[in-house]
Amino acid sequence: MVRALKLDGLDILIESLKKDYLVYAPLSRNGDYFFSILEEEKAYLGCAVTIMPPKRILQPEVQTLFNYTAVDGYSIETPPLDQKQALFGIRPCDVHAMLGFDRVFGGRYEDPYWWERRKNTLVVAANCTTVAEECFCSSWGTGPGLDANYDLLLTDLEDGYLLEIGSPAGEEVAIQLDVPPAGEADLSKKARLLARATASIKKVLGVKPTELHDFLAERFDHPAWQPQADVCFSCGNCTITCPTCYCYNIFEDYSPALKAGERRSEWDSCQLLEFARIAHGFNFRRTRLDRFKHRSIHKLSWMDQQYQTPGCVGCGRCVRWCPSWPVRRGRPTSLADPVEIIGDLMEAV
Amino acid sequence: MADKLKTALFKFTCCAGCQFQLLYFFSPESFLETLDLLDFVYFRMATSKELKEDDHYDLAFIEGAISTTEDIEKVKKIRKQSDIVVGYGACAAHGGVQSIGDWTPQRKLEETVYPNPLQMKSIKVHPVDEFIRVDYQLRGCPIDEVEFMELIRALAAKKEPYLREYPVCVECKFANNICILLMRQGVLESMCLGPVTRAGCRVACTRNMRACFGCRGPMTNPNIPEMVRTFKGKGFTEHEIFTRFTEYAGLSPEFSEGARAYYERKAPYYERPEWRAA
Repeated sequence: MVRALKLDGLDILIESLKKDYLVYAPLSRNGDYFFSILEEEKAYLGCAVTIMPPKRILQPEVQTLFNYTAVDGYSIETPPLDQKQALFGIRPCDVHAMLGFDRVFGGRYEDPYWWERRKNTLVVAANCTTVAEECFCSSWGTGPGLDANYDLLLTDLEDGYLLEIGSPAGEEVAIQLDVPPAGEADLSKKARLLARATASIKKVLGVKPTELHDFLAERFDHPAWQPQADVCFSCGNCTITCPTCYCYNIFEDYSPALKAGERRSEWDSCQLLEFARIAHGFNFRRTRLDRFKHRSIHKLSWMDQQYQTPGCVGCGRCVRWCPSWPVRRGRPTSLADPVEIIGDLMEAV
Repeated sequence: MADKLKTALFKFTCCAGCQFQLLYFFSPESFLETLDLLDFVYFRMATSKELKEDDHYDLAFIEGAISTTEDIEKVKKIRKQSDIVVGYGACAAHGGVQSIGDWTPQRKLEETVYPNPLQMKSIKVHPVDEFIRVDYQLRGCPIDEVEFMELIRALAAKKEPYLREYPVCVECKFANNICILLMRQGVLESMCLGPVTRAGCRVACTRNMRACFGCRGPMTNPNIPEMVRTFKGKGFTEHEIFTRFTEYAGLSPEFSEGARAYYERKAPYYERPEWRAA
């Protein structure tokens, strides 16, 4: 079996995918990138994370859980989830985030909506040969290259694309392409480009991921939390754009006559005041400090303890979209930046 | 199904745009279905029915801000006559555009506008809940149809409506918008109040690359000092920041904090309003 092919362009692959799959790809709009259905536009594979992570395709911001009608008894109808779809150009960090979702929505309580979509999804990942300044995936080992858990994997070799096959479903697509297999030179070039990308990542987490649990547990009451929380908007941008955040709220949309309705889920965020509000109006994360600390430690430590998957994959979205930019260590930094949060905590008391 | 709600819509100081919006909504069929739940006994723009003295209402909408002493008596009477009072639109919620005047002494406003100010009986503009308890508040300039539907359905079904409390940022990200606060520099259009403003507008402005100007008022527990600091960091003058915060909801305690940040730092451009001690 051929494990790797060499493509001159992406069109042949996209055309082939479109035959069987609904193709989602990063598209450019107003100078930024977002994951959407690929139609006439050109997919953009230059390294830039999309505004919203591709989790929105598998777990939409607002999704219908089921429709119901209450005429002549009850009837419940779940929306069709069997659309075969392909995530084209999904980044290694986002693939790792998706594996995190698999753990959260798998295990003890399975989320049927996630798994139904997940089973019908073809992962056409793309290695990063260039990196953005917000990226710090190498600290987590979630990029810039992907080793496993893909159906197809693209690498931009400058003179064409390397297409690696990672699963039978991927092979079915690749078989239809009439292109030559890749040579040794292509594979070594890929390794060289990835090494160059890794070396160009400037942001490094100050503490090794394995030591983070102890590091953060010791600093739970560190005075550096308060000044950070003071400049936090609690707007939820860091969590809404986070590829590993999985919290959602459930609400109802029903017809005025109460004859029919729809139950929906909507992404929620621990940064919002009402998130931890419970019956009788009590709120167990009332202060901004509580919420800021919760998000930071949950991402960096607790999620790993609970699900054995890191809560951060180093994609840099929170860094990019946090509206608060305080000056830390002499330069403006994004408040939500995990690297800077750890940097603050490393400073002596 | 329950009986229709006997409803009245009262207008005070405002442009009546929210009222007009109710006739103008072109939205899904379910909007008409929603209106079907209401039996309007008084709605000046849509019906010719006259107001009956000492009538009782299941539901009263109060549109507009309170700006005369007679208005205070009127809203108190409406409160007594109604089971549920809903503040309707930005003016009822926070005073609206005319609340900008509250930051100037009343005497100066009257002298500017009227030839004989000594005959005027106007007072400072106030939101409705300054005088009476308001059960629910529809925000925005104008109100949002989906939120309106959610409220009416919930009231008819006797359950709590799900009105969003989170900031505009959340909805903006849901819509895959680029952040104009971060991405645009130096133009007033980048002065976005999204991180402190309550959502529910379905990002009407930011989806069209317009900065949020806070018509829906503050979210729960917004970080106003940080918003002021952010605007300053982007190079906006204190006066520009002041006008941004006072444009629609300057009377809310939260946004007035942003506006006061201006007074505390600089000799006043406007005089400090005497009625609201800093």
